[in-house]
Amino acid sequence: MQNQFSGYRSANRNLCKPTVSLDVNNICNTEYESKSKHESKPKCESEMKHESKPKCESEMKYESKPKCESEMEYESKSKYESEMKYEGKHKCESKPKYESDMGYEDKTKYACNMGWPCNVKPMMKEKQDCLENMPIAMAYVPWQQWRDLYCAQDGYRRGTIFSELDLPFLAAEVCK
Amino acid sequence: MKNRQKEELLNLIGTIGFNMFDTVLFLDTHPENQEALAYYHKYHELQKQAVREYTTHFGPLSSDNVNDTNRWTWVETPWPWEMED
Repeated sequence: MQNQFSGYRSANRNLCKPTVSLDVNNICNTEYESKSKHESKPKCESEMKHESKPKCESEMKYESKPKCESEMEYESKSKYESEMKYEGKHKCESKPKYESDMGYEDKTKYACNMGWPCNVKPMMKEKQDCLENMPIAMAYVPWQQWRDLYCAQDGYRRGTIFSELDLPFLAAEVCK
Repeated sequence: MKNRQKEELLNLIGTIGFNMFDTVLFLDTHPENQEALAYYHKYHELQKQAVREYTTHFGPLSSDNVNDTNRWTWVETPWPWEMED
């Protein structure tokens, strides 16, 4: 267990590596599986109206109308899934981007690759389901390795010499 | 010129110190990691050199660095808030 606070020194010594380690693949796969819930989700109101409406001129207007929120979410998920297939799910070895360089989508992907269950909207139920098979009241922290160090100057500038710990600050998204 | 050198040296000492400190945190939980230990000792040596150089040219960085045995030089150099531009 890596802890950056020396106050936890003695506690850390007594902690073994987690008996159940975070399986990034498992988490990500579960995340994908949760997509099926979206598929069976009832359509939004605007969609229902659209379907029940007879084909007429007004229908044309509906077609050009922006998609409902649930639909958009589903589409972005599908896009994300297909991208992951090409890019590979293990990104732990790649150097993380600086937070300032990361767009909203990048942050989401990065969070998932790092095995974080909470990414885009952590308070959403489907995100929490990523951990549904894990025992409750247990915390899991992957063991830190001595690798991917920044050069001395970059480390000083970034606030950590470990590029793996140079993570995007996602609290801003949590508060939204 | 002298001020720039002083600033650069101070920045170097800060950089080295930070790298050492982050390594210390790692070593707290990985006390037998040889790579981290080697890294720490390398930077510790660099820090000693940099502080020695700074002390020689610009005076002591802390009271621990007062090397003159004849007089107390700690108060002779400007305080941080008295630093020249």
